[in-house]
Amino acid sequence: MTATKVIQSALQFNDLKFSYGTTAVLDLTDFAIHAGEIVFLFGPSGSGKSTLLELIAGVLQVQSGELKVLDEPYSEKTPAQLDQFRAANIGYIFQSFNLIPYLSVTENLVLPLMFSKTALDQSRFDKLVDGLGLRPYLNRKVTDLSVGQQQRVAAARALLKKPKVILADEPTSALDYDHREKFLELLFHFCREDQTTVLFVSHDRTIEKLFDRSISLQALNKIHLKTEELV
Amino acid sequence: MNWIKLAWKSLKNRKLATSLTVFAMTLSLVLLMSVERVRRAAETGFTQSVSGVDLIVGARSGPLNIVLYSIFNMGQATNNVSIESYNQIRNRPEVDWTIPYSLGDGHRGFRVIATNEDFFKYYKFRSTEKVELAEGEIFKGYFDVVIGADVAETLKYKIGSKVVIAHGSTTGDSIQAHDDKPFKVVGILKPTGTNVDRALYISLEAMEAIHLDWQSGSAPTKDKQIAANQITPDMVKPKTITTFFLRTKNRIETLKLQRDINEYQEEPLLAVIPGVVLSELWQNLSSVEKVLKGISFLVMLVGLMSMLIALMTSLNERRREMAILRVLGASLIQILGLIVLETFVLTTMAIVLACVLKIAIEWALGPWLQVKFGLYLDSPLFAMSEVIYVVFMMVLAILISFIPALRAMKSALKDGLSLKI
Repeated sequence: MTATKVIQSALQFNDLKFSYGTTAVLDLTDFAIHAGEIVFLFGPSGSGKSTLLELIAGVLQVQSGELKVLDEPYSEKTPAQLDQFRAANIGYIFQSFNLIPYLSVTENLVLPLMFSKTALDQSRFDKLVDGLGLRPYLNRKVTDLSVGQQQRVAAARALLKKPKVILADEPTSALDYDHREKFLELLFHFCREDQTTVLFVSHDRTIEKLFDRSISLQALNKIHLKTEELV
Repeated sequence: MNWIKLAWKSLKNRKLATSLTVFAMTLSLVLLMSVERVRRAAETGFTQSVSGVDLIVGARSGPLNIVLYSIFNMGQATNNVSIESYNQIRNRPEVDWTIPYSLGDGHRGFRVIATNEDFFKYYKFRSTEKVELAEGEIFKGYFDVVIGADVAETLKYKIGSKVVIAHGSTTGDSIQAHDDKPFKVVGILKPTGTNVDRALYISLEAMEAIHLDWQSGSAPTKDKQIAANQITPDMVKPKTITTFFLRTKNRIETLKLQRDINEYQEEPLLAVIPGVVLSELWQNLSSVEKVLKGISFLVMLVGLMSMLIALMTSLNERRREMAILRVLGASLIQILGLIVLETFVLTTMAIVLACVLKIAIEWALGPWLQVKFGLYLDSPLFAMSEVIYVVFMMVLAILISFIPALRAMKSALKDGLSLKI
């Protein structure tokens, strides 16, 4: 086994089901995303998008069926192993409030290294900081930054450890259209360069055209919940 | 970035709550340590009122009685010790030195001790400290008196002041006074923080001299009075003393000597080992200290409760923070650990602050405590018991922090990555 194993699929589900108590949320048809693919997953609020992301991130435990990320079956991993796997391989960008408010921009950027236990790659850090235009804000408090700037810090933080997969939960919904496109172009630029797989969930289809592939969660999910049921 | 730094920054972000919590914890710890320190000083002051004395010998009564009247000026001797017995014991080969005391008279609330120069030579307290003169010299003439520091301060006496000794009263003013033979202050002792400060010292001969013309415990009539200038050394040779302190040359001889004295044929005597009696007595007097200690522990508990409240109330607003840490790869155990670590940092801050404050307070108030209350803060800066309190507080704080820590862990598990508020 060599370190440069070719990963066939970044993401793969077989017969994946999930429910909160007695409320079934997900019952997905088999599906896969290739390594390096940039995928748009859309669906209305409450269709189970966040639940799916939490499963892929390894924060929720797989209850039934199989979920493989980077060819590694999650059902064989303990919660602690999932945390380690996430720290090493997955970058995550939230809709908003991605940053720890009491840390500076730089401190937020290097925070993931504490969990992935890797040393800071200074040239990558500089490249991301310059590429995302964050240089002037490095020592600022994150609370002084605009929403757009905060999302760029979040993107840089997710990219810094060179993750194999980036999960994004409507990271552009707080931005206006022009900023949205610019933000995504920057993000995808770095992802393509590193062959990073992106799974981007949103209910906003205006940005769909920027992605390699677009999928409706409702088409994948056999369970169609009314919005109220999830709340 | 490391965990300690993260915990520190997080605490710093909640400045007000953090500083109030640290303040409450610091105060409780300072209180606990101060109570302990004062207790220790009081105990040392008490049990080491006299040191280096192996035996106290007096007429046969009870051990407590002898200790009380010889050291603390409480109660009276039931009988005297004849000078012959005293000399016989004093001249035994195993005896290093003795200090004779003749008691019974007083002066305006303070007792008068008749002794000899050996008192200034051998009397020790708090292990090694000797009685020293602040000014003047020790008594030479019959009517010279050396006074303790408290006596000098309370009665505003200086070298040369006239002192009239009251008869038969060790505490208050008496009906009968030795006003025909007034004394003159020739020396003032340095403060010791012990009962030495609360007495006047005259020679054994002076004690005889003022009672020379007294008969059956009452003052002489005018015609029978013997004037001060008619006294000859022969007339004032001491015939009895009340008690004496004794030091052996070799400590292992103490028990044998004690037995010999207790079985002394010519006279019923009792020899007691002061250290034993003093610690027994202290045990009985220390209930106040226990109450104080109990209250201090309650204060510590209040300090810890304020910490618990501060951590609990912060948890809800920190759920987002926990979700971010989770997504970066923090495990639930690490979330738990972060809260415990924050508690550790908080408590460490409180402990360091409390120690600094304690040292500062003792430095500032130490001299005043010594002069005013005879509390001598001299033993080690931190005793074992204080170290135990600090460790106890830390352990308790860490244990209590598991309540918010487990809760944070539980809510992080429930929240996942998206806050469902």
